[in-house]
Amino acid sequence: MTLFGGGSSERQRSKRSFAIDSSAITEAPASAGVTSRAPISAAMQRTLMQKPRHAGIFDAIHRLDTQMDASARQNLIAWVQDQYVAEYGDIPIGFLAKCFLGPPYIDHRLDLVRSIVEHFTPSDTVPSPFDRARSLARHSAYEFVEVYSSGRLIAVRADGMTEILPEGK
Amino acid sequence: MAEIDHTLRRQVAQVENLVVQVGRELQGVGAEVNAISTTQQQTQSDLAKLSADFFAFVQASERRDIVQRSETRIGVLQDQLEHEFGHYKVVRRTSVGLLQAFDIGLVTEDVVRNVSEELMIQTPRYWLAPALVALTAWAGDDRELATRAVAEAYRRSPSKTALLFTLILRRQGRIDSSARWLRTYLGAQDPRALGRDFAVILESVAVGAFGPGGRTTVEEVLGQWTEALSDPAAHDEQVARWRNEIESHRFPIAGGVFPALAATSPEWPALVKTLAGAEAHEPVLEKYRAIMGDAPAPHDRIEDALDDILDRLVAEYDNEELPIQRDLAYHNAVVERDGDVDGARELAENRTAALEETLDYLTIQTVSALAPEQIGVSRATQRIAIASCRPWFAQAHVETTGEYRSSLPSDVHVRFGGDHSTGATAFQLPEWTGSLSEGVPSLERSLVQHWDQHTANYLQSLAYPVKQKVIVPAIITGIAFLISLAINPLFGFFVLVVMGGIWALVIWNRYKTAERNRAQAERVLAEYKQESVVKLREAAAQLTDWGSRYKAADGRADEVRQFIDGLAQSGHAAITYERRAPIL
Repeated sequence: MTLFGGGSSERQRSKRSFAIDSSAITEAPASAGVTSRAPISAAMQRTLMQKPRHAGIFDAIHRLDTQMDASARQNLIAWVQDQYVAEYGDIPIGFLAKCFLGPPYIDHRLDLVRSIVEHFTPSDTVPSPFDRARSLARHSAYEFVEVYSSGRLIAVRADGMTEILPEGK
Repeated sequence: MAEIDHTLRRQVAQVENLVVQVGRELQGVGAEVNAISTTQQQTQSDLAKLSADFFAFVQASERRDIVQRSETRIGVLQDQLEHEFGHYKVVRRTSVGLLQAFDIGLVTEDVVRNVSEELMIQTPRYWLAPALVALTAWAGDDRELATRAVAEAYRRSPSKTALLFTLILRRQGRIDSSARWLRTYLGAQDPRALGRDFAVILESVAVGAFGPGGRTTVEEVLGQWTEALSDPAAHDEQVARWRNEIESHRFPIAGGVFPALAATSPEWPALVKTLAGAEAHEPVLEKYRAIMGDAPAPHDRIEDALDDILDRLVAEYDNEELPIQRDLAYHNAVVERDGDVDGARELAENRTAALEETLDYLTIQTVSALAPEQIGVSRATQRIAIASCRPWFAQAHVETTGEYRSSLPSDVHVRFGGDHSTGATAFQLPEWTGSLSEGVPSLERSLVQHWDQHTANYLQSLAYPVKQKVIVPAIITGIAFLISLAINPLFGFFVLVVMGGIWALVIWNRYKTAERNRAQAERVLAEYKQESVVKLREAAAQLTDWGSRYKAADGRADEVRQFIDGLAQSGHAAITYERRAPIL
């Protein structure tokens, strides 16, 4: 049985010449309502970082893994950095990805800051902060892992979708 | 001469007997030492078990005491609730009769008015009493009294009064007045500190109780609030709640499932964490699929839906009751967790998030999704709240998944130390470690080689050094031969044959005994080595099983991700009454 159950009657309704109205309240509301805020930059940045990575990024990362002369590599790195600034709001210090050179190498790091590519075998130690990305980079769900100076990792799936992992987790 | 020979032979025989006897006694001592060592290990193991049993007994006893104390406390708290707030129930119960009378007119207005006025006096501070007076006055068309009573109810509890009249007027078909009450209510709310009764708004939206116009108003306001509150800290706070929810579906992997791997792999803790993380996908998916797929049967009439909501509004805990309710929630958790105080505190903290006096709008959404019974919303509202929480649910899933995937060890090792078997303990085998990625045959060779290397000296010590042992008897026999040869050549040869024969016999016996001991030791060692190798093979096989189980569990991650993405479409699937004309 419900507390306010039951039907209604025409007789009762027709008797009421007024409706209990909030205009009866003379008191001011207890608190102000919502105050809208200016967009928060950190929230905006998160939104930007979540944007799917475009095919050009994938292509550039695959090309960086191949043999190329120093100036071409430098140009490509500069292009990648420009893309990240323009599209995603922050530049990673590098990437860790599966290595397709075959055994004994299993993964490699593309260091955008020092403009180098390093290949690692299972027993090699990957320098910090790239080391945290190692198991993720080897996972089949991800194409590559972006490593940021803050320690944040963003795992990028083959379809470009991103998964942001917070610092130190 | 014959006498000397006889004496010599007797003495040699005695020496031989003594040597054999000493050898036997040594063997006996060795066996006893082994038996003592085994007994000592057994005693240590029994002692450890006894200690563990005793500890478990003490813990169980402590927990029983804790549970008993909590059960007593629950009784006391329930009495206190009844004593201090029991009279509110009278108002709530009387409301049933009053409103039925109000609806169908079976009781005279005087009686209704008397009862409501009596309740007004009997329950000071309670908001529902003047609200009922207002309703009675409305029924009697007494505008002046109704206005004063509404003002008093509003003073006592602005939110609940505004909501009550929003819903009652909507129920009575006074759409415009209802909408004004709704705007009054929403305008007075601070999205950072909403009362628990705000869940009623979510509930009403879920069943379409406000009608299309009211719903648009509410959704506009809720949209503004979400935007205003969505700073990264608030986002992280809600994500953390959802992470807790996902992590509560991780169940410990007992070492007994993969015993050899658990016993030998230094990476076992990481393997447990990874597998437990991956195996959370399925229960999470099952739970939320069931919730989202379980479409509750809608009420036939809007009145019934509104009545349910009104029930929730008046029956919700009033703020004065909350401290007792929080205490009660903790002690109930203690009983539920069988005296595990830490676990109970964690459980109670999660549950009592809904028992705070004010909550921000985002938390109300999360609590409605995660603990609907605590905040008093229906399954329909929970489903909409889950859909609204999609970004946090998705991010929590990404983080928990990324976390266990990151903790997957890049290589799994096996470690065989001096404590992995009785043999290893007896021989104090130094630690040996190998990577399971090397393959079992190579590891087996390496482990056997490790055993051989460590036990080579011991086996060597058991060998009988024939060459060394022959030198002294040969010299003595030679000298005796030369002396006796000088006396008589025939006697000389006789001495040579007899002495040489006796010495040869003694040395041969000793050599054979040593060889027997050595063969026995080799057999025992072979058994120990085999035991280690079997453990190694078991660990490798269990890693394969672990891998299959992990792969299957981890594979469900995509399903969960797609399910969460799909929540975006299941937000407001079933709105029940929107296309209907108002009934009254």
